[in-house]
Amino acid sequence: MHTATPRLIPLRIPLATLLVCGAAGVVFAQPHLQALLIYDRAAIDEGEIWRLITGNLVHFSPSHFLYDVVALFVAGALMEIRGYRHFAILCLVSAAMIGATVYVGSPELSVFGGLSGIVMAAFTYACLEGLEETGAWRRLCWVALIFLVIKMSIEMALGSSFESLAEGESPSFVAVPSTHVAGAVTALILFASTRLAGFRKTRS
Amino acid sequence: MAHTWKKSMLGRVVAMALLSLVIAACATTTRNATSVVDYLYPDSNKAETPSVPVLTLPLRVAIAFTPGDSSVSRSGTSRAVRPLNLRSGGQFILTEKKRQDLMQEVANHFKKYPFVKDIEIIPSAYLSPRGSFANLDQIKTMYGVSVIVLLSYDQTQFTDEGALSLTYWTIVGAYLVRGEKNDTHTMLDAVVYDIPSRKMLFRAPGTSLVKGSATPVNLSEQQRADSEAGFERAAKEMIANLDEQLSAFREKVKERPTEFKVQPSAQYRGGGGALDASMLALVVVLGGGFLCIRQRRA
Repeated sequence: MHTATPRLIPLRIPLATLLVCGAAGVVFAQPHLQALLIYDRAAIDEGEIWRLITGNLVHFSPSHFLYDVVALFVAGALMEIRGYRHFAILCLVSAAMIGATVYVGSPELSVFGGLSGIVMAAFTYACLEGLEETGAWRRLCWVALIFLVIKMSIEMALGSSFESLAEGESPSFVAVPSTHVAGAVTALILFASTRLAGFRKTRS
Repeated sequence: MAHTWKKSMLGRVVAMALLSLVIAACATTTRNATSVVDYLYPDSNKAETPSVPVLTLPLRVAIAFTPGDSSVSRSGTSRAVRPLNLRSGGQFILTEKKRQDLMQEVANHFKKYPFVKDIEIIPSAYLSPRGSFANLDQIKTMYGVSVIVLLSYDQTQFTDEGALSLTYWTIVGAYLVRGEKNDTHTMLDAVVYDIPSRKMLFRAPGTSLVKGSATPVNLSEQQRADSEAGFERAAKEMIANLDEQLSAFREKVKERPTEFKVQPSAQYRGGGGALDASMLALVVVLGGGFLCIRQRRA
């Protein structure tokens, strides 16, 4: 009698994720780069508009860096390994959206940095894609999305993150929940537009 | 007669060999140091009482090298008794240019922090030896800074001669044989002070040890190179330590709000796209869930 041994499908290497995480690591290790790339409102006003996008790669402390990069690695790798497309486009568009949101919505901020908005975008996109699948994965994505919506609603209502609410905020550094919403909304728009494009293709 | 002549020759050779051994075994020590304590508290009877610092964000920070009383000390055997008096002892190369470069390196590192607005590099001429806080108040007025990073150093160079230095008696050996052994110990120390309150906020040291060897002819050159390398390595360690100490200081400010007050200015707010533990946990759960489901399906 022949018994088939279960075989795992080999994992894809999440190249784009590794690239973004690596870039954040290089920037974190190079103070010169940080000074050049950080979202600095005064510098943006003087024409250095790349900072709107590159500011997302700058982190202010080791824990800030670690939280963001670990989360992005998991969310990005999940997207790429499951074969969900558009991760690179999602990163680029959400980075621009986040920069624009901070510039327009938070004029009081002199500087900004952090990948968390892009993490939110990747996470939301992965969950939205998961809703189209079946079984336990679909259920898990539903639960994660519901939690995400509740969490973002509370943060937006109170203008702070869960952790800051519990520990008290540093007067020098504030979490910016609107960037998380900007990331999630970008993911939603990108997801909707790809589905719309697919629908039009099928009809034609 | 011939026997007596031979004996006398042998005696001379032995005496020469002993003399050269004694000379060859000589060592020199050169020490260059500046001290923050000597600069800030020149009068040991008069103590400055620090008050509670109020740090207004974003900070305007100055960086300066602590001026010293040229506390260069040398010890060791006089070089006049050496077979070739080719060297001049320890060479100290922390020129103003080097100091500026080093301060610029530290400044570049601090620029990344959102709570640091400006970093001013103060030339050495603006700080007077034993100037104390009165001198710092002048700097504060001139540059409009409230916090200063005072860099001080302590570098000691030891030069010893090994057995190979015996070859110097051949003259050619002094040009070819690296019989001089140099050890360069360096410590760079950064102390961060809030000028108005006279309070030390934190400090970060960096140390290095450079080992080298040289011929007597290029000893000075080698010592300069070792000195420079010593400062570069110590600076790297000091900058890494500065990061750690700064993180620790930020924690301290959070934990002890009565000891350190932080107030943002009206125009300043720094923002971060930061995730909290709950979000990180959610992402990890989703990733873990995916792996479990995949495993089960396989």
